Amino acid sequence: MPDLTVEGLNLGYGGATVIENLDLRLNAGELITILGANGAGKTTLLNGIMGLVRPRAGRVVLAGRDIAGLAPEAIVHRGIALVPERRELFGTLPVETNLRLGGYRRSAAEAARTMEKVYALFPILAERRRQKAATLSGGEQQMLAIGRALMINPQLLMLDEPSIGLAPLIVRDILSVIGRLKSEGLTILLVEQNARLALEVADRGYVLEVGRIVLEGPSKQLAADERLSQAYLGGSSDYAALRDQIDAT
Amino acid sequence: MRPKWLSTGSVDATNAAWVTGTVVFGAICVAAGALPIYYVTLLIVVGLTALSASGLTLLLISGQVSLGHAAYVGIGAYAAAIAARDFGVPPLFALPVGIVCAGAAAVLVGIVTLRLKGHFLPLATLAFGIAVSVIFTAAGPVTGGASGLSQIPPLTLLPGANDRAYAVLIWLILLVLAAGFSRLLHARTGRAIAALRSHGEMAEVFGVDVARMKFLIFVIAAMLAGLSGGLYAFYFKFLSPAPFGLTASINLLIACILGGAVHPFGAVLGAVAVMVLETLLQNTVARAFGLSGHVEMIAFGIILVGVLLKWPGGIWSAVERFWPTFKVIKPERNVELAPFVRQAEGELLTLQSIGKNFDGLRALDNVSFSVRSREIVGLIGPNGAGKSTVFNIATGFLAPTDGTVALMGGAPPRRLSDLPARGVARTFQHVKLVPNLIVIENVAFGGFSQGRAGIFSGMFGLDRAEEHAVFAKAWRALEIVGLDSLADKPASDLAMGQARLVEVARALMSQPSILLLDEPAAGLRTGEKLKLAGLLQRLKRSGTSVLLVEHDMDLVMNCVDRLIVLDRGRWLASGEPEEIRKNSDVIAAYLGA
Repeated sequence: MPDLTVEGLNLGYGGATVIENLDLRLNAGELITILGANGAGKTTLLNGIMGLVRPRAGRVVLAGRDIAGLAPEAIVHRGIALVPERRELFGTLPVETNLRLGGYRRSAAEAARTMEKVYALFPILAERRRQKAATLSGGEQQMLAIGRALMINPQLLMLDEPSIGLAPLIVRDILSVIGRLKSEGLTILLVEQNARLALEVADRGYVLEVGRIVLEGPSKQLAADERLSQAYLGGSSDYAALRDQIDAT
Repeated sequence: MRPKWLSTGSVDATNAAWVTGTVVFGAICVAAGALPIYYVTLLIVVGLTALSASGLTLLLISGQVSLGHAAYVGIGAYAAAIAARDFGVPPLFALPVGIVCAGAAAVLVGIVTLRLKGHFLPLATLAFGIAVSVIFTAAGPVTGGASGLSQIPPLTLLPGANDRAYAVLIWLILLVLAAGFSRLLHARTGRAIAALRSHGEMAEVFGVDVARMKFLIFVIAAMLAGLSGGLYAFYFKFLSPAPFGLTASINLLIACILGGAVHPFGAVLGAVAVMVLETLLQNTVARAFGLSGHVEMIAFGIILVGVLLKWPGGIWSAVERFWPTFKVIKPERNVELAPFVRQAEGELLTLQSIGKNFDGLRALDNVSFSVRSREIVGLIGPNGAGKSTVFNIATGFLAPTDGTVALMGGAPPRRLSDLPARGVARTFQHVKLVPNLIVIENVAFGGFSQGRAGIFSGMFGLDRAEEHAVFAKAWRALEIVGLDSLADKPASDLAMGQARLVEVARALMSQPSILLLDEPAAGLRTGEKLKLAGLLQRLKRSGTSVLLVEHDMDLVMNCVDRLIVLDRGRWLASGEPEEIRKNSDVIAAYLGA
């Protein structure tokens, strides 16, 4: 089982630097979450690890080997899979074909075996195997996107906002599946808007602000951190306070 | 006087084209006066090519293509020449005859073809191009057929004017039009063109009649070609069908693409580059090999491929780095909501027993609810419950299979582009921002329906007062959603949550009575959601109603006055948040324990 170490990573587009001198460590079998405001650079970080954005400086070490600067397909080959923010399914193709495309680099027999595992994890996908991906509901599409990533039999699974646009019940489902994958030994890097839920399933968390890690620690410690609560963890009481404030003016 | 904040210095994106045009024109005047007459002829030919190419570039910018564009050049040329030669119309007045004929041909072609989708439209323009050049040959008694039309009278503006003066005239026309189109790109019409190219449906919702706008640009491009043709006829005083055939059409496209089909000046650069290359190659390669005609064509092809590999966006993309970017200077801070609110009374949206079938699948069944003035109504339910379908039926994107919809007191408008006039604005579940416009231009586009400035005033800067007001308002809208610091960023750089808030700002620009928000909080953090909740509350108090589709229960439960819950296309429950939260059906289907 590999672990991932990111050292001094620098990422950007054109003249703009998005991630600056970032360090991060992910132990084998661990689930970590990255929290941060909009535009903090979370998606860019995942894309940087995946090779979709070429690192300008720094190392991304997977199981002792530096993969920074490799092409995305080579990085997939080393065992990292990304579930992208917008899911990026092939909407006009059936569910099963989407899955098969995920296992494109593997032999037919291996892919078929993994596909059975994916269907066991998400029985609804087996039911809809002949249906076009675009006709699935949002939750089912997210399951398919995760299933497709699992098809490469990854060592490290990275998820970008898996709960976005999903009903509360389905969010619970997706998060519990992620918890299950972890308990089966998968190493997981989770970027998630719902910070409370993410900290429930994660071992540790990092808080990213404007391209830098400003806070890190075990999930329980972060969940109790006052600095975090206002920006990421607030609840009904904050909304009530807001209403009072508006009423007052 | 130009509003100060519209520019950062003396030259900006809105006037750079005019400044450049003036400088180039000066150089052309000197060149036309000083160069040997052979080069003056080249100047004229390049100018004429660039003139039709700039129209074609405008067409390409609007996401359309014409593969037979030289046909319009030919129609303009023949019509002007025949009017002058056979009907005694003075050449100066025969030119507009050519322009009108080319435009009329485009209207006919447009009526027939613009309804075509996908590959059929380019194919139809190709067929038209071939057909017209065949007609020039076949209609011998009128056009002189293959042997040509001679004895065309010259166009004489002033006594004693010569070819040198003609070159100056052509470049004057060319530069005025190209600079005008270039300014247009950052005006109200330009924003609409950019919007319809990237998201046609979104452009409609903000008031752009997409079909009409595309048609208009198609006709303008043809008229420019017609003008170029007329000037060609009166310069050479002889016409034959060959220069208006398929090869000429392809050459026009090459000039556009080589120059960079994103900016009208790209067409000028492209036309010049093609001419320079051809001349150089004829004089060098062909001579070196002692062969004519073939080797230089091969060399031309190789160079073309090489240039486009180096600059996939054409030569213009190399120049663009030095071109000023569009900027708007921040006006005084002002987060007043009043300019974004249009108060209305009574029931703003009523759905009565709505049902919808998709290919036999019952997507909605007997759904009824209403949104009254000064009310925030939430629409929730599992993924696939039909919320988006309700949204689309409410706004007239889709017609219900049964039931009736009343939107602002009447049936939803037949054309989506009438929605903003009704006081309806929406955001999209899948963000639809125009990626190549900066954030504040995207927001400013939201005010399209309230503006008046057309193509002419956009080209020649007669829209300054209106633009001033639009951008001041757009800045306010950005301040209201808290993203004014991102005003100058390309919209494609935004994170998803930011993009959603920019969509809210854009929707506010049309001053809606009812705002339909489709998952505005997806991707936002709690702090940002609190801000959004605050904005919705303030909007409601100012008199705007909101229909909110959202999965974030903290936001929904703390923000809305009433909730409608759908499940598998049917009404499941409705009521105040506290009731819904305790409703066992809703807990089972949606909320979870």
